[in-house]
Amino acid sequence: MGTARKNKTKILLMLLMAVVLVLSACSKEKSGGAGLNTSIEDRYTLDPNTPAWKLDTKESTTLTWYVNADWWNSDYGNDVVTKKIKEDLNLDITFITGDDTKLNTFFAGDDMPDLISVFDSNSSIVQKADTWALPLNDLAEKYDPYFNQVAAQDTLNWFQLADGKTYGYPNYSNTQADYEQGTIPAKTAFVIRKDVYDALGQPDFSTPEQFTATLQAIKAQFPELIPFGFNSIGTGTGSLGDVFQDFIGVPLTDADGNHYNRNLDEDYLTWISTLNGAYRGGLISDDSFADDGTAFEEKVKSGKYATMMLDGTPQQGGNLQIFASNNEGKEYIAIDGPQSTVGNSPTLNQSGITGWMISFITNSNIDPAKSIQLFTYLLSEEGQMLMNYGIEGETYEINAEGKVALMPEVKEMQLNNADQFKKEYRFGEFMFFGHDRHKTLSDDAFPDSIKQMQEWGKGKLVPHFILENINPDQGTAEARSLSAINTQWNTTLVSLIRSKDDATFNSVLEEYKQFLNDNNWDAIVSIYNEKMARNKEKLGL
Amino acid sequence: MSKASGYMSEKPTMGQRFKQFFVDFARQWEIQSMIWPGVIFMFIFCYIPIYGLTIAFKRYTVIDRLDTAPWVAFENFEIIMKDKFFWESVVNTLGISFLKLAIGFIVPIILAIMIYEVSLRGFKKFVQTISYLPHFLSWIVLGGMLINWFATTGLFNELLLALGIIDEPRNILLDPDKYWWIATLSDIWKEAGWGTILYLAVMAKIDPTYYEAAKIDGANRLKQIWHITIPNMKLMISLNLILTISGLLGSNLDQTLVLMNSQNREKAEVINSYVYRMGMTQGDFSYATAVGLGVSIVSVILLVSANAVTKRLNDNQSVL
Amino acid sequence: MERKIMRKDWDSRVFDTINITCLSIVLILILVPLWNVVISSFSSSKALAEGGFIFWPSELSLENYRAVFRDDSIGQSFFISVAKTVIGVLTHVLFCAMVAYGLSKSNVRGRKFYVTMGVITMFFSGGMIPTYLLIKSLGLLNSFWVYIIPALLSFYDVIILMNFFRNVPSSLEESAKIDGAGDWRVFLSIFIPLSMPAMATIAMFNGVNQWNDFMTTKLYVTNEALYPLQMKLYEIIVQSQTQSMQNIGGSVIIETTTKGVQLATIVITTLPIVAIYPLLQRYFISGMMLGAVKE
Repeated sequence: MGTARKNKTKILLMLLMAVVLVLSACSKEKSGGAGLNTSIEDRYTLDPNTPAWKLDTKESTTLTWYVNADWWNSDYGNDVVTKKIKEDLNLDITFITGDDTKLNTFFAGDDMPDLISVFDSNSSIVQKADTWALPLNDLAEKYDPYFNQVAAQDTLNWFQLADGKTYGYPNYSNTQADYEQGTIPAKTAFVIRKDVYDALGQPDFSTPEQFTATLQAIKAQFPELIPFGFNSIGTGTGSLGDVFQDFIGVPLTDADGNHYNRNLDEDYLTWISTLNGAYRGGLISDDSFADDGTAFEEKVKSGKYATMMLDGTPQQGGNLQIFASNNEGKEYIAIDGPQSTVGNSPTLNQSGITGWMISFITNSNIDPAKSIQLFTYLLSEEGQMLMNYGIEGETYEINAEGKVALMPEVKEMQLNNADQFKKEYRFGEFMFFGHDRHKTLSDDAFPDSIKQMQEWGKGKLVPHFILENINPDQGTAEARSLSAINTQWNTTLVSLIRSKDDATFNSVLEEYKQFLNDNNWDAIVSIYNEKMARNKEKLGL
Repeated sequence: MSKASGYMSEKPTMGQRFKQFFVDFARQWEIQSMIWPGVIFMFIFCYIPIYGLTIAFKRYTVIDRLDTAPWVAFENFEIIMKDKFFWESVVNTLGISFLKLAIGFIVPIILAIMIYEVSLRGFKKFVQTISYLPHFLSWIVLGGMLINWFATTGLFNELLLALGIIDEPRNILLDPDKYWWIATLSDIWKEAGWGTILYLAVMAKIDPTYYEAAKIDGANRLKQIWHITIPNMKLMISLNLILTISGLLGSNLDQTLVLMNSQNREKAEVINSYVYRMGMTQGDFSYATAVGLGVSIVSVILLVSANAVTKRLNDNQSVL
Repeated sequence: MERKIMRKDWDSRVFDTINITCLSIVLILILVPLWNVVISSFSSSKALAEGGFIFWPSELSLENYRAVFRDDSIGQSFFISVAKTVIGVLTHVLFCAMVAYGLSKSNVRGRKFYVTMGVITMFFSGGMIPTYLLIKSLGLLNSFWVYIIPALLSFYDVIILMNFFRNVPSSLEESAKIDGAGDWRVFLSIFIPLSMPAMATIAMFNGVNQWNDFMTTKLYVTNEALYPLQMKLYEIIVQSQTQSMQNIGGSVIIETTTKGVQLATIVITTLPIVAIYPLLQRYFISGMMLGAVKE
């Protein structure tokens, strides 16, 4: 083929590209609501002591609510919880689910939903909320002052952006007061099978020597069990990273209140070395490091581990219950387990002040008044009780001990027909702005299998607020370095425990330290300190 | 054009050439009308969205729009090129892809020929159907099964112990050096059967009289395969080959996410799992787009080169 | 065409024996894990948790399937899946074949341009975001046609079909054209029937894609009435994973494991395909030479 034809092909292709580029330059039209200029004149007048939803005379509204998760159940109006919301607020909600890409199509296409809920407090969505969301303070002032009575001031302060306004509000946000009151249940524990515990005469695990010795005794007496287990590691640290550090009470900051690399703490490394010794003695199975979440759950259900460092007890509650029901007298119980070698007390962690799901009202919201009313409603006691237990007198009642008890037919369905229960009642699932203090109102909030573990954790919880949201901003060089460091720690931790001998252990550790230096660790630490200082300010420390 | 003189040796002008083009075009209107819907389709669904590639040259995060995202030219590419973990993932990607090419490319061909040579109708159909079923397993399920089987108490170790090949069970998923083999062999198991379908379709078109003739000439089964079956598959093999070569920088994200763990990571991290972690989980779309663009360009280069080579082997006939 | 193996002599017999032996080994290697998947889907969650079985669990149960079918909208989603697969495959195969036929003629003007254009689409993509915006501006969001229209053309399929069409002897086309047939007639009455194995293969590939696809739904459809089976199954799996994550209603004992439900969904999804394939197999064999022309 001659060059002439080749050129022709090239010319035609370039023309094609040119047309495409021209077309793509076409802009989109803007859409959306009136924002803070929406009028409520003909609907109601403000009363700071009454939630506005009780006063609003508007006939009906439909809002779109985007939840940035695949697993969100987008049903609305068919179960007790959402039916009541619909009734009380004259409100229909259309839920949309998706992931980050879907979320971005809303921003890119200028087609924002009315409400958005996201899960990553570190993402630019939350950090730059002032560019696309409405400030809750202004909304409360204009449309529903009662909001300020149900929202926690600490939490509002925590989520304040540079302009002094708060845009998002989280769920399961625990304040200092919550921690002090002790209403938050612990979610980690060192557990052992009761039959093993009794057979060995209630042994001790508190010092490294005792820990190893007891595990050896377990192996001798119960050869079919794996003496020690832990949550699946995946790309994180399972229950052997910060969970373990919290368990033995590694300090959160250094003496001056600045960032402290807990991974290199002496006490902690002593214990890791102990685990290494246990591994070399065949007391920890290699499979535990390769297992994924599903494989771990199966081991829990079949009671394969004699002891476990367990994180996320509510999540494993079902599995623990299954094992307990099928194995009388062998259920897992929480005991004191490993202790600090330098006398620290446990600093167990729970949901912090950031919570884990943050909701916003967007700039294009078609009815900000109704939206803030919805937030108030869900945050209030009424809304919380509704979301967790339903309607008093209909689905639950307060029993003689002052605890919430579900009506028998509701409880019946909860135990025997989980799917139907979800469809008809949906308690505990619709958890925007949820809070643990409502969970503790009822004996049924958690499965029996973990109640003793939560009891054990009482008084051992310590807020980790100062360490929240201190990671470098997304997209920066430090963020990338941190990602590499975290990945390296993931490998290092497991390699330490699996070291063949002390020499290997030490060289792996040295390698990690070197890695920190090679990857901007100092820059990252200064960012940590900067953000920690900001946190201290917000917390008034 | 030759310089030989003669009344027909004048080179046509540009104008004349264009005219000739349109005349031919019009004469072929029926055939052209079959192609143009395809062209329009590709224009709309493939070329219009291509402006999204500009994300590679911007700093684009979850809350950005294309016109508001800041322009950073080649910064994203610079970051990626300087990232030594990225290059480690390239090595792993190429390693696994080459292994899959070396072994996994031949297996479906051999398997297809084996199935083709079976005369018992029932058995043939049965093997065919069963062979492609693994294709439908998702990697999440298959990965879960592999985790089970490679456990120290799992099937694999039990077998090796029973056969006396090893005296102590080991979980090879934790061994980085074994990862490339695990990834390759499990992928072959899953996809080999599915890969035979195209080859069998080609073989269905082979005229059986050729085999009869060869038989009469004294060729045994193997010779018949070598001289008749395989040459007929040449084009399809070439097509598959160039597509596989152009895909060398790609890998199976699902498989990686399931089989990768803290211990085999140095050999398991491939380009798309690395990009997934660095880009997508941080809401950084530009990172992912930039890598994607780079990979696409390299893939096209690989394709064109592979095509040139296979063209030579196929008597200058290109599959494209 | 069927590979007819004539007169079993010694060499043939040896070959056949080795061949069948090897294939049987392959069969076992594939069947054992597959059987494990199928039988696991019929195991109770207790048996699955214990694990350690290959051929038969300690306890059989239909609970995984019950968990899937408990949702009554499964029937509707099945209908949607069938509709999108049938319509999608027919339109896709015909569209690709049409384009491929045109491109198989070496004298077509602009051929190199078209092919280059097509190959580029196989490697370069603008990404999900611009595609989403495009689909939106075309009004295909939440419409059944979003399953059909964007899936009309795959250049990979075009290349395959193009190569098959090239192998049809030109003498057939010439004689048809002499009889006065236009390109369309030749295409429909000669090339398609002769390339049935290829058409059937493309149909099968595309059919499986359509049947298994749920990404399209995830990105572009929010109307539950338009959810295909795969989307419903995906939801069921994700929701069963979430139950443990959210600690729904405390004392609820999750009956089914996520794994069990996943296995059941695989069996449910694969079953129709396994059932349909034998019916398609005859197309692989048909396409015999009509009025063979000896070269």
